[in-house]
Amino acid sequence: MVNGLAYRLMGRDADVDDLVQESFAQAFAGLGRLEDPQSFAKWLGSVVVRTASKILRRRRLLTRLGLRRSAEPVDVDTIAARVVGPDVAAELRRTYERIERLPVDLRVAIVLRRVEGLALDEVAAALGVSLATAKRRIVAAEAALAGASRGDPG
Amino acid sequence: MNRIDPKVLTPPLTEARLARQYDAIQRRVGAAPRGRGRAWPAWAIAATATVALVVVVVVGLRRGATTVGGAGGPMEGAVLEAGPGAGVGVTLADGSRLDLAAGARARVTAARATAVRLEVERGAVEVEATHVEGRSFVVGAGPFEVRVVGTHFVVQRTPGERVTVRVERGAVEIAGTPGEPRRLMAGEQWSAPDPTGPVVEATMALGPVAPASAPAVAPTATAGSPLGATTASPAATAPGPTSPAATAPAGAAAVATTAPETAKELFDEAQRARAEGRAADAARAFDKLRRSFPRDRRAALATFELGRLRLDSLGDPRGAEEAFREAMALGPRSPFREDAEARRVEALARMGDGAGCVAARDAYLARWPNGTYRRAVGLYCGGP
Repeated sequence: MVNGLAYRLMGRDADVDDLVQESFAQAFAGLGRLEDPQSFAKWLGSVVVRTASKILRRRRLLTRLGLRRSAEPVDVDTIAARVVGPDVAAELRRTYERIERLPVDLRVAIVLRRVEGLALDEVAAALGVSLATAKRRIVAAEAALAGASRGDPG
Repeated sequence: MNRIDPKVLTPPLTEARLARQYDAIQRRVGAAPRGRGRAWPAWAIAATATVALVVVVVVGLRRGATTVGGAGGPMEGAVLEAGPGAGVGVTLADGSRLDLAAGARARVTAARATAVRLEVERGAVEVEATHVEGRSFVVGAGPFEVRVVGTHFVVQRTPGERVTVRVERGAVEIAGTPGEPRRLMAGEQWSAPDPTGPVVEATMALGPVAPASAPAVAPTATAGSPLGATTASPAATAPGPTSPAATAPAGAAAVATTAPETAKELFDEAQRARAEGRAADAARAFDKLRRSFPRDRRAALATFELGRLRLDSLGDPRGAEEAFREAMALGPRSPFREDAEARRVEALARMGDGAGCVAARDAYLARWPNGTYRRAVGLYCGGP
């Protein structure tokens, strides 16, 4: 679960191990705050989401400061399951390239909603925001993606 | 944006990769100060496994010296060898620790107050070296040398094929490469072909193994020897395949192994086997654990892990289904119950047991209407 979520949030395999390790370290540090063991998986998922958001924000900052290349290639070709045909892989790559350009808050929200398939209230819980905020982010992300899609040549 | 099926964006996970993640997390968690100074709750130990990393188990069940060979005297020339079934750990007098993975063999070629040198002949040796001012600590692996300065690293050698060094903490220098020694920092890994051939037995004359009658627990170490007395060992007197009693001089030492007997040892053995990519060995150890220690607190988790190995690595959905079913019975309220139930549906689908699959799927969906795997499970057995 954690690897899959990390994979889909980050969009490249090379980032997964770091995110998984960091997430578990954070989770264990905060384990005492978890009261209901039955909700461990969801709680851990929210830790992964928060940790991914932090990493993505840090990257944006480094990119702005010129300390990191801005356009590292999306890794979807290698992360897409082998059963996926080349047309689907290409579409996935395009989609992830658009997602990559979104602000971090919108990016995480749309991945949780459209890739992870979470319900709106689950997205809100994972992000630690209100339902209204979660909806707003998803709508904004959808609009941005639609705009990017219209501007895409192919 | 259309919905993307998460199943098409699934990371390439191998047991070895999961084990590496597990090791890294274990080290991070183990190194961090414990907030309340108590062990992890049992449910957390199990729940972590449900997310495919099995992280906490060893945090809660700290690995000790599985089998420790002592050192009598200066110990130079001693051969440390782990049998094929289990690794061994050796704690040196200065606190440095060597963990040999199953099947690994290393020879101590220097054990003086000013220099310690270890030659890895085959397999993986994990080193936690204590920094001692004025003393060098070198690990050789074929033509390469890893020079240590108070650090934690792993040297793995497959003679004639490859040498790999991975640094977990601190830094090491690798000599034997073209040009200047290469410095490797924490988190970095280096690997190169091993141009030398396999180690032949004849070379072992330089580092003979102890006679079969050598005491398993070392006598008092020579004063000043950095490789002095170690942790006491359980009786470990079985001679290994490289124990030529006729040629071994006095003072040499060997590490022999015993078959794991406790649930903890079996669990550790399974974890090691998995880390080394030996899925079948890991499955056997988990299987033995659940059969030999059904009331042990690890039994349910071991059974669940057995199911995962059978399904994901061994191509045995029937065996996996049985293991998941038993894991559910052994841990009916365990945090990985949902995982076991979901994976059982997958196993039944892969077995081609349509009726069983439908029944298990419907049971899962009824029990876990908001479950983590409800969407994936709903797609099995021909969909809803």
